[in-house]
Amino acid sequence: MAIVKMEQVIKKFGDVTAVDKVSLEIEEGEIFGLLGPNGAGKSTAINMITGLLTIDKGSISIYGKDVRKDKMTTKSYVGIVPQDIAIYEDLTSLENVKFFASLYGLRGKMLEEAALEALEFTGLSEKKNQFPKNFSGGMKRRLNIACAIAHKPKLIIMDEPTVGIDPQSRNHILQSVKKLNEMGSTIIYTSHYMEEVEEICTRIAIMDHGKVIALGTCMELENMINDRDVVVVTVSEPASRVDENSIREIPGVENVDVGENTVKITSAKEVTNLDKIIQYFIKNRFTIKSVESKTPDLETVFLSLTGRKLRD
Amino acid sequence: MIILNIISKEIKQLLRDYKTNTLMVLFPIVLIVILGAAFSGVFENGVDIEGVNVLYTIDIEGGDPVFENAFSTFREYMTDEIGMVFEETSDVERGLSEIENHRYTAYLHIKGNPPRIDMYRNKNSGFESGIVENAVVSFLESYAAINVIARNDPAALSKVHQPDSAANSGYVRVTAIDRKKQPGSTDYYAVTMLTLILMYSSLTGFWSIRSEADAKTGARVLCAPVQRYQYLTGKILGSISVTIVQAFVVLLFSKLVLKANWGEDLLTVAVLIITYAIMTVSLGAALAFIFRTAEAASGLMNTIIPVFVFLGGGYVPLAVLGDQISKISAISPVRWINMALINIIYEGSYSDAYISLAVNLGLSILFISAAAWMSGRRKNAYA
Repeated sequence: MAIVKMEQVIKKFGDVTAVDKVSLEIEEGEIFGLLGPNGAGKSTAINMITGLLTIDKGSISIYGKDVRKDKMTTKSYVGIVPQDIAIYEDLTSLENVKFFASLYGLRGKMLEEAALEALEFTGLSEKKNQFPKNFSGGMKRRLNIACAIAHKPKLIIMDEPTVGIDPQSRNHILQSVKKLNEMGSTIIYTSHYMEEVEEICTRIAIMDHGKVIALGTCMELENMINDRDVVVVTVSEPASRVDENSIREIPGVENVDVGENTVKITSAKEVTNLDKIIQYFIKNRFTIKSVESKTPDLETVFLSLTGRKLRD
Repeated sequence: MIILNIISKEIKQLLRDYKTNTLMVLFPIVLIVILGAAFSGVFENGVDIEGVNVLYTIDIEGGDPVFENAFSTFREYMTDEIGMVFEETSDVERGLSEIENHRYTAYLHIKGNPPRIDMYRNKNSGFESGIVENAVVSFLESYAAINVIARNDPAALSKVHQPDSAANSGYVRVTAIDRKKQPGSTDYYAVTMLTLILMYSSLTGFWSIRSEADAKTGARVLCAPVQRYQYLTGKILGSISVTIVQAFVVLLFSKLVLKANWGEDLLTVAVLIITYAIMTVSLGAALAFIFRTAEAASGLMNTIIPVFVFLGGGYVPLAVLGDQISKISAISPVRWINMALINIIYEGSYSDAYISLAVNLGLSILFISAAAWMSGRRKNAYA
């Protein structure tokens, strides 16, 4: 059953089309990933689902109810974890969670229990009477999540919930997402970290310039480019010296992604060009530390589809 | 219920802002003490009694020597003892025109037979014209008694023609001829410093909305099943509640500890202060939506508030500032609340209270409507 249905949705800000004829169906029980670089239209799409932004054209329904006509009902189905941490620094953790849960109609003992449960779930029970102004970034992110789940929403929308936190907190959040899904919540998860999306999402939509450019499971997306090979060359010197255009001139090369000490080169599978690639590095006096052949990942998929990196 | 939850959250947050609460309560108290002490001499000497000038016309049909004699004695006494300046004119039109143009404190038109006095007050000279009014009322009371004596015991009349002897003779006792009851410096600044700090409560309304936008919590609240009007109502009512508590702490402290006079009708005083607090908080809320940046809005408020307070007689009584400033001061809501409170406390007069009430409520409705309208249009004000 489709929990969220977006049909030909358009949202414009002046002359800029932030979301352009997007149609999506998100099924019950999914962890649905929205992947795309900053400015791709992910947050705009989410803000329309939550009713925070109006829809210019098209329609969005949640559990069959139109978000425009049944705004309050559809809002009550959703728990939102906003991209920016949205908590009150001068309220304790427990007060924060209780306040947001109270907006969904929870009262009295039920409210108290639900708030404590949400804090327990996010590992903040011991901090329930502390003010978040003294929390680390990761703890604030977890409280941000607790505020979204206390009222036990059917649909949880997480907009870049792991931005700017340490690996331990990130891991905790990703495990929490999986657990929430196991407990019955459908989750929409936006990120520009493809590893996260690869790890937890059952289905993924890749967005760019307001459009959905690819949709499917992680494997389906990677299979879209199974006609390509990826070679990663690691060098001792800074890779910034690499002239991308020179590598692109090598027959078969489609994309070049230069990192700190690595150069990721995507080529058409039918062309054998590894020798020419290595020759370029030798000729240009790079010390090659390793050459790896990799299977395409979501990053490669995105690069192939858009010609840009996710974090551009 | 949602509105109550928002109000409760708002109150909790505002009461935890110890720094602002301390400032909002201590600042006016310290100013009342400092200004009260610094200007005590000015207020104790009265509001420039020597500047009280009265124009009068005697227009009694067929004349009334007894009345005219009594009025003449009254006039001399007020000139010599109080320092009032009297000037006669036979032109009633001129008298009325001079009062309209605020050139005299009061105009007395003595007419009819038996004679009566029609008094016209200069609206800009509240205290001084009050003194004249009180003196005239006392004179008429004395004259009524003198008139009776003149008819029944003319020989005793010579004794009562002199106010001093009249007071001591047992025929007439003049009790209210002196300066009308007026505020001391502490009394005056208790009123004006409270209305000054309440004007700064507009910043409370402003930051109440603005902080939610900065912290992105406003957008989050609106993702929940909460209507915009519920959100706005909760925010504004929460801010108003805390502002009113702060105002009453200052009022009670000034009354109980500094012994400032807040009059007998505390209920009306409280109602006026509450409506004024509603207006100032609503102003801040409206500006939070109208201006795109916090700097622009707070800059504007920090500029206009001192001007409004000055025009409202917050720092120096309006009577001292002259006619031009008094005329301009009508644009300041601070002037109306100050005049209303002082007139209630010292004159028992409610005419300015009605104006102040109308100004406060009218502006509140205007500001809240603007905030509601702008919040619908500027959705990113929350985000």
